[in-house]
This record gives sequence, C-alpha cells and structure tokens, in this order.
Amino acid sequence: MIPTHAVAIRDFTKRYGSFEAVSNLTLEVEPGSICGLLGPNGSGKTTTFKCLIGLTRPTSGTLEVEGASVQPETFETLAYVPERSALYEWLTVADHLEFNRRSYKTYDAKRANELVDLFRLERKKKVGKLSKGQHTAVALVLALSIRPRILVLDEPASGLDPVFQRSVLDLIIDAAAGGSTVLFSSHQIGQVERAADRVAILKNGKLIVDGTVDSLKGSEKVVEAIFDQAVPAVNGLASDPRVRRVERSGRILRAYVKEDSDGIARRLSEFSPKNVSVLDLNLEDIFINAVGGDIPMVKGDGA
Amino acid sequence: MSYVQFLRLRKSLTIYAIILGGLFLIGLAVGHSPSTIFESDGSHTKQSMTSLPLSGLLFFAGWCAIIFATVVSTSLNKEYDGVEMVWTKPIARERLAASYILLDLAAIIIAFLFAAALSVLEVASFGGLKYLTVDSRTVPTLVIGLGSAIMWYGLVQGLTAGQRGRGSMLIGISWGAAFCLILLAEVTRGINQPIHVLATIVNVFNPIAYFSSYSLSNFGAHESPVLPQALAGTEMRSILTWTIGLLGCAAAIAGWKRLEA
Amino acid sequence: MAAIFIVDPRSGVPLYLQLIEQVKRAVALGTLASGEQLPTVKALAVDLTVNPNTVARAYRDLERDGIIETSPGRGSFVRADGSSKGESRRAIDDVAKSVLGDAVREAKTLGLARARAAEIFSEQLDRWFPPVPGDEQQ
Repeated sequence: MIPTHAVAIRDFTKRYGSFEAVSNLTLEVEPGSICGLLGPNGSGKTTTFKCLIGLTRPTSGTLEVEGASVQPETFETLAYVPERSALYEWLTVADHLEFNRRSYKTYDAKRANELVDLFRLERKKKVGKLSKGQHTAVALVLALSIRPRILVLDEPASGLDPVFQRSVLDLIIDAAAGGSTVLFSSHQIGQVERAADRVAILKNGKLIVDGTVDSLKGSEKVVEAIFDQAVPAVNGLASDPRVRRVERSGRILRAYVKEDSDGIARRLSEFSPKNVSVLDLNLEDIFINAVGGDIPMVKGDGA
Repeated sequence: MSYVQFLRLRKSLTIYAIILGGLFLIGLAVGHSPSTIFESDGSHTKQSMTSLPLSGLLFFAGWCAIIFATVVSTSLNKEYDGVEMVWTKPIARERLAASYILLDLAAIIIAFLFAAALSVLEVASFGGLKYLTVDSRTVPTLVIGLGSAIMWYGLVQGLTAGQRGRGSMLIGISWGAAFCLILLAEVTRGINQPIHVLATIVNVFNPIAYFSSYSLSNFGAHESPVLPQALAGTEMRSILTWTIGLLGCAAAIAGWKRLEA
Repeated sequence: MAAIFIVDPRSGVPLYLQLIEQVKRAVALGTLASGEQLPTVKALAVDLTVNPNTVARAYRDLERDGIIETSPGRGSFVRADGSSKGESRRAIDDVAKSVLGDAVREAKTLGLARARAAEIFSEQLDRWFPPVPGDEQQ
C-alpha cells in the first residue's frame, strides 16, 4: 500500500483579483503528526485552510486529504474548528450536540459528554450567552466528539487565558497520541514549540520556513562575534544565502543564520574577533527572524 | 438533515400561529359583542347572509402564506454566517440546500392550511358554516394562492442564496417593488400604452400580480389589468406561479453551491 | 509522576534529548526505581504538554541505550537488572562534563585568567558542597 500523506498541499496558489493571497505553497503532513502553521496576520493561513476543506476554491494547485480532495464524505473523519465562531447563538449547547448526532455516523455521545463536563459547559445554556472561550470550547467538543482522523484548527486558542490555552493544547496532543493528524495555526509560538512535530512559517502567502522543530533549532542559530575594535565590514554577509539577517551593535556583530552556523562562524573568525560563539534560538526568535524585516534595529547595513 | 432549519421554522411557525391565533380571538370578541351583527371583520370579504364563498377564506389564507413565505425566503442567505459549520458536514451542499428549501415549502403549506383552518373556525363560531359555498373559484384560489407564496419565496431565494448577506434588504425591496409595479401598470393603462405594456411584462415576475383581488373579481375572464393578456387566465397563472417559484428554488441551490466562503 | 520530569520547550536543546536526560537523571538518583513503570507515551505527552512523537522518540532511544525496556501491551519499565543505573550514572556524568565545560569556556570568553577561574570555581564548590564539620566529603 502506498502510504499517503494525511494532508498534501501541492503548488497551491490563491488569487483574489490581482492580489495573491497564497503563492505556490507545498506542504505535506504525515499521518499521526502535529503540524503548526505560523505566520503574521494576512499571511495566508486561513485562506489555506479554507481551500483545503473546500469552503473556497484554489486558483491553482491541489489540496488533498488522505489522497483525495475533500468531498462531503471526508467530513465524517475531518473536523474543522474555524477562527471565529460559526455556532448558532440562539441555540443551546445541547442543540449543537444534537445537530452533530444527526449529522455524523461516527458521533460518540460519551466522548462529547466527557468533553462538555471537562469544559464545564451548561448544556441548556444558549450559545449567545457564552463567553468567547466557551464558544471555542463548544466548537472543540463538536470537533472531537466525532473522533476525527484529521483535525484542522484555525487559531484555536486566540484571545483565551493561558489555563484554557493549555487545555486546548492538551486536547490536541491527546488527539495526536490517539493517532489523529492535527494541522493548526497559532500566534502562540510557545504552543507550537511544545506540541508540533513540524512547523511551517508563512509570510505574504509564501512558505519561508518548513521543518521539524528540532531540525530548525538545530540549524537556525545566531553566530555572535565580539571584536576589540569596531565591527569590520564583512563583505557579502547579509546577502549570503545562509544568513537571514545581520545585526551590529558597538563591537558586537550578530549573524542570524538559517544553516551552516559553523561555516559562518569560521568566516567571521577570519576577521580576528576576540570571541566567536554560536547561540541557540528558540522558535519565537526563529519566527521573528524569518518574518520580521520591519523590526526597528540598531543600524544594520547591507554589507 | 437540516435540524437547524427545522428548529428555525418551528420557531417561525409558532410566532405565526400566535399572531393568527390572536387575530382569531379578536375576531371572536368583535363578532360576538352585542353591538355587532355578522359582518366582515378586517379579513373576510363582505358577503350577503346567504352565501360565503370558501374562496374568500382561501384568499385570506393565501395572503397569510405569502407573508410567511417572504419571511422565510432568505433562509439560505442567512446561513452564510455559519457556513464554516454547515459546509463542513458530511452532506453535499446541493442536498443541504434542497432540504432547507423542502422544509421551507412544507412550512409555507402548513402556514396556508393553518390560516385557512382558522378562518373556517372563525366562520363556524358565528354559525356561518352552512353558508360556506364551494364554487369554480375555490380550487384556483388555493392553487394560485399557494403558487404566489411559493413564487415569491422562489424568487427571493433564487436571488439571495448565492450572495453574502443583505438578504433581508431584498425582502423589503421586493414588497415595495411589487406594489409599485402593480400601481404602475394600473395607472398607465390606457394612458401610456408603452409603459403599461412594459409594466405588465415585468409583472410576470411579480407574485402580487397573480393574486390580487382581480383573481376573485374577474375570475374566468382572461383579462388582467396588470398582466399580459396571454397570461391572465387561471390555468396560466397556476402554471406560471408554481413554475417560476420552483425554478427560483433550483437557481438557489445552484447559487449556494457555487458560493465561496 | 510527571512532576519529576521538567522540560523547557524554549531551550535550544531538542525536547526529546531533554527528556532522555531527565529519565537518566531520575534513574541515576533512584527517583525512578529498578523495574518501575514509566507513564505511557500518551499520558506523559499530555502531562508535559509536548508532542507525543517527542516522548515516543525519547522512549525508543532510552530503550536502545539500555535504560528502559518496553513490552507491547504492558508498557515501559526501568530495566530491573541494575545495568540501567550504571548506564544512567555514566550519562549524567557526560552531561555534567558538558555543563561544566561550558562554564569554563564561558569564563575564558569573559577574559578570566586560569587562576582566577579556579578561585571562583573553588568558592562555588564551597557554596554548594559546604563542608559539614565532622563528616567526610561525599
């Protein structure tokens, strides 16, 4: 049997008029893994999800779940939690559960009730009277109650308190541990750092970083060189394809590299610095380096 | 499977029933008060004591159904806010839209029958049952009455299903436009023939043109002041209202299917 | 159980390596006894709020290193034959070498002379291994 990716997005482009929201995105997610999609607002994350699950049509490229584009039947095992609440404000929590019960063959009432109790939701309460966090909780209950093989979540914990965010993350991890594949986007980089197998970072609709958390941390480093005198001009450093950006401050030069930090360190050693060290970056740093370009810094240059 | 729409319609029908029930009770109170003898109360056409055509009651029921139909006619348009939920279920969009429409149509029919039943009850409460007469107008009034409701529903649904939002605005506009068109056709008749003809042609798509009081008064005559002559007869009206209505529903299903979130 | 494992997702050290070190430390110190059962992959992943594959990978490597053994259906256990303790002690030793080595390198980077570095190091030893009167140093 040829193993298929749980989610396979290939060369996907989406244009709205002349505006290209997503450009040539290719992303593959292995079954049973957790993939975190990061990116500034407007970078194309939600557009990608919408095209993946068929709410919108792509301009070109393919988006497949378990080897085929999403059909109505796919939703027996694919659950989606959108960023903004799509619940019916005038219905109760119980009504929504009933809605699910009638729509799905795989609805697990026991699991649904477990989760309702976990989130301490009142079944008879109208959704309109629930807090934002509780809206998300209901959406999660509905999604997880069908025991989906694939779970797609768009900013599942945005605007929620840290305790609640942790609960959401625990549920995601629990689902993956049970064999589900999870694809989620988040602004909480710490969440992605903990929970994701692999990370994809989007900027302006383009994929700029793609790899496992461990391999990214292994290759994305800061090479710091401290000089006795002023920092010398290092020709071509900023334009070196291995380097994301360069920072100078007083007698310190920092090169944020995406790979081959040793090579860059050797290069800098040629300028006889007092000390050269390679420092680790956490995912937040990696993200900011990859995505920011607009961060006010001490005068960098284009040397 | 359109549990939500079922719940919505149940709510709408309940409100509708309460309103009609209220009218019914008011009618009882007014009719049975000592100062009133059996005469028309707002809703029934005035008739002599010897006969009361059932078509009159059905005419009233038809109008109730039309009003109800326009209220529920933007059901697909209103669902746009929740598409992330309904379009991520294991049911094809066309099937979903069709089930919404079928439920709506069933509710419209129930609304019609309920209004008809209440009217008959009202008459019965005054001992007027024995005066009720069935004639050649009865069935056409029923068919065209329901047809007009379905036609209005179909037109609005067809125009709004593929759009995002602002459906309620169209309901309001449609009521205004419908009456204006009738008026236009009426006043230009004989005075400004070209505009009159244009108005009558546009009125082919105007549900009120088929079911105004002309239906009753000049029944049988293939003549209508507001419709093209060729289409003024009862058979044509029956066919046209239902056909346009159902075509509108089909367009709605297609429009909803093509819509993007 | 999970309270004895602490991992830092923000660290540059991969989580699975941190977890492996944590388990070895626990075994070396006796916090995890011979033959004791470890939490399931799923339970530990949820407890620590980390990716389950991270835990699975750590367990696999621990098994390869001879610290734990996994029987399908029963779970993962610290090896009961006593070899794991020695193995773990050696691993902890390696970690200590690396950490102290980093500290010395850092001191050098700061420009300390060897003698001064040794002085400070001795002060720190006194601070953390305070001599107890009458007892022998461990």
